Amino acid sequence: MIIESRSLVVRTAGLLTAPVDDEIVILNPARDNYVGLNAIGRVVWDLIEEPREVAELCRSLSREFGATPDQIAADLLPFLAEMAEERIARVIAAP
Amino acid sequence: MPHQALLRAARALSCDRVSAEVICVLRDADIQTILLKGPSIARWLYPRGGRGYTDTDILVRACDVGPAADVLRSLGFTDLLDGFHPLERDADLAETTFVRRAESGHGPDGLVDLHHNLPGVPAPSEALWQAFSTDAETMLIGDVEARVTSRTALGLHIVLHAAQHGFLGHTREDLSRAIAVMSADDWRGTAEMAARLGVTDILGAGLRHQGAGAKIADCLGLPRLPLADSRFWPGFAPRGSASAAEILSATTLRQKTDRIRRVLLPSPAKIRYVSSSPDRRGWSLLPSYARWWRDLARATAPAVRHARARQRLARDDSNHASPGIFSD
Repeated sequence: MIIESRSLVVRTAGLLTAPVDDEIVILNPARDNYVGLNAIGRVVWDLIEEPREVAELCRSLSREFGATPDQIAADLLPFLAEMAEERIARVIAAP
Repeated sequence: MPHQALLRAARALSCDRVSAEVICVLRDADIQTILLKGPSIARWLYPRGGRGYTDTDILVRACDVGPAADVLRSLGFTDLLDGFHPLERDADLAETTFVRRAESGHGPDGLVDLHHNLPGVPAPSEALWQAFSTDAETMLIGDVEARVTSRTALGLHIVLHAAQHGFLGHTREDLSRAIAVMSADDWRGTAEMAARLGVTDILGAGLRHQGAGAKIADCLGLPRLPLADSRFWPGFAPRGSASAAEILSATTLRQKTDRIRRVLLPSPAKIRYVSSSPDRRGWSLLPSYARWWRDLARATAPAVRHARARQRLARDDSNHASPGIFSD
């Protein structure tokens, strides 16, 4: 899957979640699997409650963690790909 | 993420999954539901997590209990007390517990308490339904919109639940957090609901169990429960005291002997239930029966003492009956 800066990312519908301090546990009933996100993953999770462009995500995280958008993108894109693979997020190709 | 916290969260999510499934199917069968406790308490009072739950509590109208039970059976659930002798079932039980094992092939493991009332509430089931459904709110469980109690009703339920369990374990923490986040004005609505349901005494005693709650109870002029001695609260009642009370209060010799026989020789279903060995049959149950008789021998004297004390109190204080939430 190619994730571009204009791709949209959003949570998969119908997931069940439970916070554990700053982290979060997600149950995907459709796949019958649990996924845990650490505190940084949780920030991304909170941001994609509504569909967001990858570039916008990078800017938000850049402000949050004090890194450049490029540095953020280097970590974020593989993470988004992993979320998509686990089917807890959907990546919608740029129009 | 700590292992225990992770497990607790996973168990709660597993319950949520079953709740969503059951609520959805009950709705399709035109049965109205209110999801009680678990997720409502967790989201309201534990926003950073940490409040686990292991079952689904669903309130339905009393007239819907039968149809709702049929729906649960169609989903692979069975009555946890199936096979119990009628005398081993509490006729006044406010809920029936249904269980589903993943091995049945109908879906994931699940435990559902189907309520038509709450333990300790003397008002008719319909009154509770009216009280809890009037201001019910909605909550998303996955992608299912579930009706849940308003915070006014949830506050009351938290107090009743804590009293039912002797203010032990997480019920005490729930109560402490509810008292911390609800103002005296918030509790006023709860007190009005408690009055309609005949549980003002329990609300007063429950709030007074904690210092901050005592101030609220005083502010609202809630009565003090006359049975102030903690030994008379169910959480502290010795094991078997409810059975002992039933035997003592039986009016005929026949009733007494029937009940004694049932205690001495419980049904195999009950032994399987108390020994948590659902697959044992025939002679393999003998060790479980032996444990039952050993425990019975230890429990009898304190249980009978407690039941007699309760009888005396009920006689001495007929104007202030017991809270009615004693259980085994």
